[in-house]
Amino acid sequence: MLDVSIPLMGNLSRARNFFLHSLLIAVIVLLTACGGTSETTFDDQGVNRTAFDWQLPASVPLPFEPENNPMTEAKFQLGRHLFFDRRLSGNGEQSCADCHQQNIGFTDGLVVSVGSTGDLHPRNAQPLLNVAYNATLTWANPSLVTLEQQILVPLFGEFPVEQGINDGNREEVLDRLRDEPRYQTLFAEAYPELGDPIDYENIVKAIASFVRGMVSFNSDFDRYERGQSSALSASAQQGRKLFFGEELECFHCHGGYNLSDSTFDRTMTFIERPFHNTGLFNINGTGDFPSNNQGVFEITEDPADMGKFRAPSLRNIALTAPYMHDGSLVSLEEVIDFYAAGGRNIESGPHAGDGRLNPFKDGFVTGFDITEQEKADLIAFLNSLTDETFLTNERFSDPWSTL
Amino acid sequence: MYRSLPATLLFTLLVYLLVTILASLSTTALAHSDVPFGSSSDSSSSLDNLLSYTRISAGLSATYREDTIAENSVWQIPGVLMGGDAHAPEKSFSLDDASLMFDWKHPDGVFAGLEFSKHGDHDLEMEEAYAGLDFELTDTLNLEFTGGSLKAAFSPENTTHAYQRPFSENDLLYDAFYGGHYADEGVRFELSSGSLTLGTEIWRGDQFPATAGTGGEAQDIYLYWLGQADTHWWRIGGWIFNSRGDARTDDRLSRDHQHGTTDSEDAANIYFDGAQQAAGFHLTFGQMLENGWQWRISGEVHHVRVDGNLTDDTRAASLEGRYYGYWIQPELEAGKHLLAVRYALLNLDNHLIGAAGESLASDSGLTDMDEDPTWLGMSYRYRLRESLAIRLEWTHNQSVAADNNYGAVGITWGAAL
Ligand code: HEC
Ligand code: HEC
Repeated sequence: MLDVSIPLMGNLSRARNFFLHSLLIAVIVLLTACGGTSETTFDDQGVNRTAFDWQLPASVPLPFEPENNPMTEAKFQLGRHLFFDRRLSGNGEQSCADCHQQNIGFTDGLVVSVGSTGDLHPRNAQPLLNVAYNATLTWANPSLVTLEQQILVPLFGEFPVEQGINDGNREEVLDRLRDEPRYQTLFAEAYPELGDPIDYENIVKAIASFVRGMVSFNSDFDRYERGQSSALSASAQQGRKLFFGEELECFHCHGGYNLSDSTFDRTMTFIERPFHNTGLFNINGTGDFPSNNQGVFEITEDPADMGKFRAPSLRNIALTAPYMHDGSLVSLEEVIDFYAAGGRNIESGPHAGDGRLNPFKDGFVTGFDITEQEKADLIAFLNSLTDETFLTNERFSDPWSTL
Repeated sequence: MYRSLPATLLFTLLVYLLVTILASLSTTALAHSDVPFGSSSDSSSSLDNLLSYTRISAGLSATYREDTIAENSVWQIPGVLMGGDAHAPEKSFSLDDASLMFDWKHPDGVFAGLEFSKHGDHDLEMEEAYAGLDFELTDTLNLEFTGGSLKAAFSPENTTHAYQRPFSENDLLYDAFYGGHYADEGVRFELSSGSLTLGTEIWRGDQFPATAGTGGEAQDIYLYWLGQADTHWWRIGGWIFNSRGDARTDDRLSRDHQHGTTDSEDAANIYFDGAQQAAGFHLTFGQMLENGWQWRISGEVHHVRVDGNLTDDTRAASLEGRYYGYWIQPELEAGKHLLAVRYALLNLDNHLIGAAGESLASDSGLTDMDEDPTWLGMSYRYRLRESLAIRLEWTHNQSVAADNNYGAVGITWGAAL
């Protein structure tokens, strides 16, 4: 091996040995000097501050609360009374709850809704669950981004008339509420800083607080995602794979924890508000949708927005037939057949045209082959999105029925 | 919690000590061509310079593993962003590594090399393709310049193959911090004087933890002292590795594209922008015993700082990662038998600031698992022939919350052709 024999060598090799030993000791000290175990800590900069008990699982981010209408339990409870109160309509015959019924996921089961004076709404009533997470509200309106804005539509809208409150009956409706002793206390508790709080601004804020608070993540799907693998049947697990797979593409538009790509919560800095044309119509091959239901085009008049709608959350989807913005698909089987075909071909009638060829159709709706078994699996998965507890939860039920 | 500072100080002190002692010892410059470091020793020396050669060598390691962690899914050590070639060991029979290497050197100092490798069921890759020049600056100072596709030389551990080391599995620290190993396109300047080597590498950044193009980069600098005296020898050194990533995603997820879950979908869309600064200290110390036996101990301490931002389509948070880890590996070799133990530990502290901190941490795998990720392995290797050996291993893999114990049996083969 080594053959260096200068006189210094003895000293040097002793020095070296000493050095190497110190080094070994230093390394051992380094290795054992570690204190606590690995830890991930957070500073959310106050975004999760809230005065409201959202009753959400820890894994779910909180919905956004507007600065001018922070959540309180008192407003939530007042809003709940108003939501279920028919006196809050021009003719005293319709409440929010008439079109949004708890036992069927807060929808009405109709193809399209009917207003208090018999007007037909062009659209199918939307289920209310986790609406607080929707980046835009209703089927296709990029400018409706808060519940406070949206609730004005059923209360005061004229085309169509829903609850039918107008200049002629505004005061009468308010008087009805003032005459109800329960409202005296409920309004006073919700707005303690105001002398006479019974007005429309406060009504809207309270209803918005109630609807915003209608959150739940208690389906079999949620339990499965939280790690309880027995929560989904083998078939539903297969269906889940299909749903989140590149073949069916469903997750691109119905993905994320609220099963919609138009989801918004406090953790988000950049908000996306996407809309899609799924190829339901293509009237005369021009890409047109029926004139009373043209999606985002109605708002923007941009031809590229023809037939674009928000991808709804698929929570409670098993309960909310019929489907799509116009209620034109009666069952989940029909919906799957529709996607498998890559759109809908209407062969005759005023809406004739091949929706599969709609020029504005989204690139993720291209059709796919699916077996009967796979269809059953996918439906088993869609059924697992039902949150049974939400249908009977007293917090969201009619407070007047217990009087 | 935060022990990074004192440890970094200690590290700096060690490097300083090393340099001063080396300076005082430089009169006893040692040749290292006969140091028994296995085949991983490829650093230059003035002796090598005199030689010219054409070499073809190859190696292979295949293992049957009873079990693994993170089966059928992407492996994520809780608390650190991963990427590159950091793959979980495969269950049942798998090819750990198969490589074919060509090296050529001309007497005037020009050299070139090529290496092809295949890992598991991943595609055959060209791991290295380089050319370089080696020349003497002075009688005692040698400069080597290499350019091309290279495996980083900041640590000998970064360049080992499964058939060369006692364990079929990759080093936990390299999986956590360097995407398995750091190999990239770049240039290397290596200055050596006797037993001392000082090198620097400048990379294109096309490999985790860096990214290529604007905003991405990587460089490193290293210093090693390779020496021997009487019956013992050592390699001591350290490095600093600096990298930046711009819009970096976990390339393992986009490459092995599958949407089995909502989670991997979320994770694949998370981008990291920022810097990873790492420093490490390496030590190998070996001794020849009377009866032809020898023992070795090797180990490394790593410190890593990650500072940057995590974003996806809708969320943002800033990330401060303060990581620390070590591995230590005693070995005993007696004739045809080699017995080795390796223990590796990671200590991963993260702090996320911003509204989306918690949700981004959970989607990108930064949530801690209440304990330090560790890896403990024991290996016994028996040489059937000069180039062929069988290997038995037992592993206690606690790098993820669902920890696992498993045994493995495999063969290794490595030879000059
Ligand atoms: C006449 C039936 C009817 C009444 C009454 C009604 N809604 Fe609706 N609701 C609908 C229909 C139909 C839609 C879809 C509207 C659209 O897309 O233009 C809808 C949509 C909504 C949405 C949007 C949900 C989403 O996912 O974006 C909310 C919130 C809502 N209603 C709340 C209420 C509240 C609160 C009231 C009482 C103030 C109310 N609705 C009264 C039929 C009704
Ligand atoms: C390109 C985005 C996109 C893709 C991909 C997509 N959907 Fe949809 N989905 C939508 C939109 C938009 C609507 C509402 C369309 C309308 O009413 O015109 C919708 C509506 C639905 C509805 C009815 C919801 C309701 O409340 O009436 C169901 C059920 C549904 N989709 C299931 C699926 C399934 C299952 C898949 C996969 C096979 C899928 N979707 C793929 C965008 C998409």
